[in-house]
Amino acid sequence: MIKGMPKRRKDVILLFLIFIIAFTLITINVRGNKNSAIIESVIISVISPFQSIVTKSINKISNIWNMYIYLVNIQEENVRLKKEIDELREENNRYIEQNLRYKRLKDMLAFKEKGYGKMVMSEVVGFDPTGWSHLAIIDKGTRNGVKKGMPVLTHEGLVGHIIQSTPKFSKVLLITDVKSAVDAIVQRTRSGGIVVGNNKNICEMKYLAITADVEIMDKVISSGLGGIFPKGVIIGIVSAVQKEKYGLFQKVEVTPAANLSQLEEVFVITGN
Amino acid sequence: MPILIFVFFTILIFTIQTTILRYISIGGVKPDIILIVTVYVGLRQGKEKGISTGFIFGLIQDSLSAGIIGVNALSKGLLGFIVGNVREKIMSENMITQSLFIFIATIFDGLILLLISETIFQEELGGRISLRPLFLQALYSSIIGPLLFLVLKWIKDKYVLLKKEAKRSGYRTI
Repeated sequence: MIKGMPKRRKDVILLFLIFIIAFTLITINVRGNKNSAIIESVIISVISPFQSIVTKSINKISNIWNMYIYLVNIQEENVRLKKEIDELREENNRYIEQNLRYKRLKDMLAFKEKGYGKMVMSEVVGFDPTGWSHLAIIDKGTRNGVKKGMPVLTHEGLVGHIIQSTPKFSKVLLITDVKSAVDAIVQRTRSGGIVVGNNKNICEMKYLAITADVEIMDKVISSGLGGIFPKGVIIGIVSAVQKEKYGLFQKVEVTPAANLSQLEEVFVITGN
Repeated sequence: MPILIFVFFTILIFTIQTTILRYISIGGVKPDIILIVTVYVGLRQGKEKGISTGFIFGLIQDSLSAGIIGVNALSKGLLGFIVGNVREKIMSENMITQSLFIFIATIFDGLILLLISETIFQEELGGRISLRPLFLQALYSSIIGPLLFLVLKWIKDKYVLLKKEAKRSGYRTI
């Protein structure tokens, strides 16, 4: 169509086209139009099966290397013990949480054991390609009951929540992404704030009052407010506290409990 | 380039970018091979191929990330266009030039995203892009880039050779 056209005019048309198409897409997306979600779904459906194959192959090769070549017995023992430590830590966390709950609510007769509800186990098949957002793609989608807004966690702690689902795959926005915000409390003192991501490997706890008692190594757990994350899931450990001389809030850094840079399997809470 | 080969390479590049590259990330920063390939196409094939490749790659990046659809498509499309335009003015065979080019291209791509995020979508993208990781990514990509260029050139040469041989023997190629 643009063959034989003067070079400069061709350039202008090309530039004009790219701006028009890009801004149309941006506008559609910002307005939350379903058409943009269709584009995303199609692309995820095409790319993710290959991601899944490659990731599973890498994991298999890695397993073969770890299990058969590199000190078979010690490695197995190490993995088992690490898993056991993680399970005990999580168990310990749950015990502390239940203990505090008993203290606060000792006059209540009926006590329903805290549970996170129905969970679907899923494998992480890929990560964000841009480097500017913290996102993972998992191999479970609407066919497995996974829907937008569902919380995602590992046995170590909170991972994030589902932001988009296709029939077979879903996007998980990690708690370290700038778009993520989790209503949280410090487990020891029950002081509340909001844990937000900053696109680094740590999170920040915002709106924590300057008078609130918070120390390094304090556990930060989800408060259950906001309706997405269940109450009592460990988010991370306080790794830095900075109290300004003036101001209403203190600056608190939270290191996620889950190892978000090496996610392999996650759980999606699909129901109560 | 025939459409099937383009689709195959696109899937391959995105699969590598979203899976394998995290194993070679340094401090969470990994090279952007999508940008490197866009620069390669712009340099070797010219602005029309550069713009379309950049746009399609950017669109796929947007779809696989948590950002807004169209932002990377715009930045990568523009990048393909600019690289395609300046290719006649630079010695693109030189590895140092290629390295420098990829470094500048990564910074340029990040700055466009930053510009869009700061001016139009402050709330949607704000805080996503920071200069230090951008600089580190540019550095990392500029080291990996020329090596990837060699691989892409080798693949292209093989493909051309195969095509010629097939033509000589009367077979159709894809």
